[in-house]
Amino acid sequence: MSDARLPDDLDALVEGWLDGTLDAAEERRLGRRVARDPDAALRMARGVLVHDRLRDLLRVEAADAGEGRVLPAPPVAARKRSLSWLALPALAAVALLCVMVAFRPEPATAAAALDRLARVSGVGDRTYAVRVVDHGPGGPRVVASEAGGRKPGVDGARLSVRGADRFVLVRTFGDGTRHVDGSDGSVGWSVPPTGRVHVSRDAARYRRGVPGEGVDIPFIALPENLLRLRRGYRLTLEGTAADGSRVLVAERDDRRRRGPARVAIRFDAGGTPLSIAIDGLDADDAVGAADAGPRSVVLELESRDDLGPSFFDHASHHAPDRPLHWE
Amino acid sequence: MDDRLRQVTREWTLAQPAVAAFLTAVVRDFRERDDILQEVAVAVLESFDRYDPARPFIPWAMGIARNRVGVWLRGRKRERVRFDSDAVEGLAVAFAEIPAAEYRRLDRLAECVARLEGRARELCRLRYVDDLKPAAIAARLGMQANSVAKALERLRARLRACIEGEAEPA
Repeated sequence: MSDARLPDDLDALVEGWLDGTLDAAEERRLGRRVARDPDAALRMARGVLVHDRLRDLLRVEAADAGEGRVLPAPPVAARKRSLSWLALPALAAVALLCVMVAFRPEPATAAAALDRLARVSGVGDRTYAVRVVDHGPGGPRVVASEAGGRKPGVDGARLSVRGADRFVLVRTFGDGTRHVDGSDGSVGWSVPPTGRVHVSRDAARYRRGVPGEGVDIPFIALPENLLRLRRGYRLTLEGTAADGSRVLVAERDDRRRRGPARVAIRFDAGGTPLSIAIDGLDADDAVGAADAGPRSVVLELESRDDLGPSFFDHASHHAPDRPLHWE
Repeated sequence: MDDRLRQVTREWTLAQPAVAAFLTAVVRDFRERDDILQEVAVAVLESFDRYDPARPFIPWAMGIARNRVGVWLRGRKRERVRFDSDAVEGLAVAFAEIPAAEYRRLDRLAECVARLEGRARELCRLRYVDDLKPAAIAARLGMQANSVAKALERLRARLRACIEGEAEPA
């Protein structure tokens, strides 16, 4: 699209965004306007409505016609008006709700088990104990105190998660003091034992220090990361144990893909992951022995207790007089 | 159907048009939008016990959708993502603010589309049934991509006018 587009031509920017015809600068300009100006956001929202509904409407009509290639004859208005806005995705979503409430069958296949795990793992609060099984070539990461400027290793850490993006990771120094990283879903934060509390509008900022985050392991954002195992991994669903739990094993069979070599998830009858064993974390991204981090880690479910409304806020993890440093 | 399922189904049915449009605005790709919409529907059901019925449902559901979009955006860090969290937040608020009557007016769209003829119908089919972008449509129809983009823009404008009762689509 031409650089001659007027800066105020918001409607044309929206149209171009929807059809994918804007260049990078124009897309950024649209994003900035929508971020800064509520009226622009509202105008864009209204501009999207017809585009969004058109797709669902026309695909429903094509499906009604029994084929996807030709638009059907004009519909009977009354019939269409009653259902037109309940287009395919809406119907599918509502049907999915009904099916999920009415039936919670045992997953028959590994892929179905994985999908179910991904769904259920985003529900409720869970706290996992982190245990390093194999420290890798760098050996155990023992950090005596915060004095050296390094964070402690994850062995013995506690990881609490809520939904897809809230987490609290508590690691302990050799001297018993704690380093806590977390996110409330919109603000990322990092609380060392002393000094400033670091906060950022990037909710994922302090996930990066967590070993394994760099290779996309299912450490924190379980739904997101579990679904990544759909591709490049061979999935196997093992039989039901005496306690009703089952184990889903994902082994990487495509070395071009990033990620751990093997993930074994034991889950209960409700689909909640009870333990997640992750092997081969150093497979691809180890820069050197010192940077490699643990090779094998197990997360074991400790609690499903509700952690309350403010647990994922940084203020719950430091004294109120600690200074904040926005990054 | 128990009372809880009936309530969540009713609320979700009313909220779904706003949530779907919000996802389309950010994600753009309809197939990805459908995937995320299903994830949101599941999350709405599974979190419904935490919903306070004294508060409006759509902003609550939109919060869930916003979180799912956040996950989706983070998964694309290495790609070019133009909308930051402030833009996503602004859009979520905007879609939640649009009055229900405006969403209901979209029910007229079927009648307006039914009156389309010729090239306009063909454009609709290629863009929305076959999911083709203007460049691909242009290749099919022997047109310039820019002309297709402009034609789609005009088509949607006509349909908006039709919905508002201002004009008939030709």
